[in-house]
Amino acid sequence: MVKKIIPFGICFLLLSPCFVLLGLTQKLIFPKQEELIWALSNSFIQAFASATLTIFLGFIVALGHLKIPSHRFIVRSFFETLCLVTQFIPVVVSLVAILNLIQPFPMGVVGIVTVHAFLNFGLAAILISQHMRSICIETSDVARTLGVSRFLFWRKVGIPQMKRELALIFIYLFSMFFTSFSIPLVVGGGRGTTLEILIYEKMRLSSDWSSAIILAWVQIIFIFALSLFAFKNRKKAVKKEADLTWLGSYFGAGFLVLVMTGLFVGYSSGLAEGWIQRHELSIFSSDFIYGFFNSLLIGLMTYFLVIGIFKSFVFVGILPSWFDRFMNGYLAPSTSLTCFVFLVLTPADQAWSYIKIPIAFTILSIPGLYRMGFGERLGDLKMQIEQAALLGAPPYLTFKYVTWPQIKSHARFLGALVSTWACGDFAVSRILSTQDFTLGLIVQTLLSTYRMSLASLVSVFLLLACFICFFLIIGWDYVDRRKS
Amino acid sequence: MSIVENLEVVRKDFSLKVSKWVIRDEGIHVLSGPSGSGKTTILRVLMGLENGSRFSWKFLGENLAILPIEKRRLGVVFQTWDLFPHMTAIENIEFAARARGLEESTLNNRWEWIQETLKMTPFLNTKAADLSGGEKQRTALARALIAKPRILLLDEPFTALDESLRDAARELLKKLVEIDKVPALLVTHDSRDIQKLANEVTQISDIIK
Repeated sequence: MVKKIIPFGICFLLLSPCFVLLGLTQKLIFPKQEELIWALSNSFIQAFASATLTIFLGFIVALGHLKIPSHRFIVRSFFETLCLVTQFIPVVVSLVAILNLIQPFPMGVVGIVTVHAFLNFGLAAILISQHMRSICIETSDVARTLGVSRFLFWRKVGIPQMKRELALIFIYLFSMFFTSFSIPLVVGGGRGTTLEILIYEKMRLSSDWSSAIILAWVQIIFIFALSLFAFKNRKKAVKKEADLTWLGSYFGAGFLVLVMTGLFVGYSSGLAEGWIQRHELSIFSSDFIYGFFNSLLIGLMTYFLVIGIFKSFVFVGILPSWFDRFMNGYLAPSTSLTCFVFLVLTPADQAWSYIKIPIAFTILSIPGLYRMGFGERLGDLKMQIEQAALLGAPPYLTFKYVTWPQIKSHARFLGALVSTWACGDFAVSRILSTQDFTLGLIVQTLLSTYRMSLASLVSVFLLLACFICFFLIIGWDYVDRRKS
Repeated sequence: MSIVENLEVVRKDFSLKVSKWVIRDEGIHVLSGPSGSGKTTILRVLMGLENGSRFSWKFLGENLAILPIEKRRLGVVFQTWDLFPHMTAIENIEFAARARGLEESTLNNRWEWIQETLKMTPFLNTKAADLSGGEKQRTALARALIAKPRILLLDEPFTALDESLRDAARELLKKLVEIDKVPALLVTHDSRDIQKLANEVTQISDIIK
């Protein structure tokens, strides 16, 4: 019985922002049409341009990934780490690096597109290269024996074969960029107001909640319509290896190294300047300590919530197919919307931030984490769960001895990842707390007041908090595995 | 004798119906037929892993079809053995004993003769993922038998073994069934399995409509 209720409960939790919104949908005043069209077109243009540029750069870098032979394991791991580094570190730290590197930085849609592409082309490269390896494996050898050149192969064989996969990655990126909140908040400026930012402004600045609800619905419907196209019939990646290095290019690897070096140099130069001005920070020292521990606490609380939900998934074991489809197809509700619901339902007292922020983060992250291999891994255990049932094992015994021991490390890794995001967050906390509650918020405040060097300096402490969060969890996992 | 009645499976691309099928309650009963004919589907319905609408499976007066999977008390060995890869051989067997709530004295008695018959001592503490094919099969048999199941269901259990190991494995199965007096239902399309093991053979074409 409990196993049947859990999927419904989780669905309800994830959809709760929409339900609350439905409850509030009375006596609504439609926002100004020009304002809506302007924000919608900004969102669309920036998301479209960001996704296109990200895929283009990702493709080039994927060619670099392909150039590394499979037996060069260390080089390949280093390359992949470099690609994914911007996914691990807090967005605000990446922002500091980019804003230090490109000066003057073009605020508005161009700025949003630039940051989106810089932060995500590595992820796109890894996704594209996985598809390259699993799809082009069938045709590369024959093309090689026919004497086809690399360029011709990609133009006539590779890209046409991968069209569907590229389209899916595009839709995935587009949806992510369309609902992006933190980046437009910092680099959007007055000219780059997106739907998400408009919702935030309506709620937070002009208290026009009625318009915010309408805008949130427009965004939800748009994203839902998109999700109907995405994530359908995804193929499982072929795991066998083949020599595809002739299809790769060193240019892609060089480009990745160049960009990452640029970001590192940008960040370091900001840091050096910040170090010279460090005396200016001394007056805020108590805020930093407070922010540091708050960030850590929020990160760890988010981890425990996410792990709790993962455990409930594992307890259910074989998830109903409708639920799996829901988790694969449902993109999390918008950040502002989710936070908005918490704003309506809970007191504005600062103490509530310790509860509100982790719960909001959990709701926002669970669908994405499920798609990051958790659902697939749990699905792989189906036969073992059946076997355990045949042996007469009740659900808790199967959970304790069969499923959780095999999936816990992956769950904890994903939990650690989301805890670092929560620890380094400034977007959710900006809506749900009133002061410079976390280090992320302090960095963002410094950024928005153009104190770039000081922002760089404080972001080091933010990085430190995130590392502590991540390694506490991963370290605990290591100890637990050694013990068992 | 156990009797299966009105077992029906309807899928988009496949359907079968078994009106009545009598399965022996001693020795090895073989269900044979060509690949894709529905043998494994019937077995999975009997196990409770797939739905077979409103069928009955009367075993010593009890209808197993209405029981949940874990209450049917079946011993099952799949073609791929499906051991829990993170556990050692002994942990796989202990887990099965714990799942059935076996008392320690019963467990010890059964474990002693199973271990002896299956010659498991050398690999008891090896992780399932590192066992050889033959060792995996013996572990899967031990796990299926440890709690004295009502009936042992075997789905092509020799297919994944090397040719050289199959004869020994067949002998072992025959011996186990005889000593433990547990009835077995073996699904196979291999004529040598039938020759060496079958006390009774049912061709799938004779029971399905």
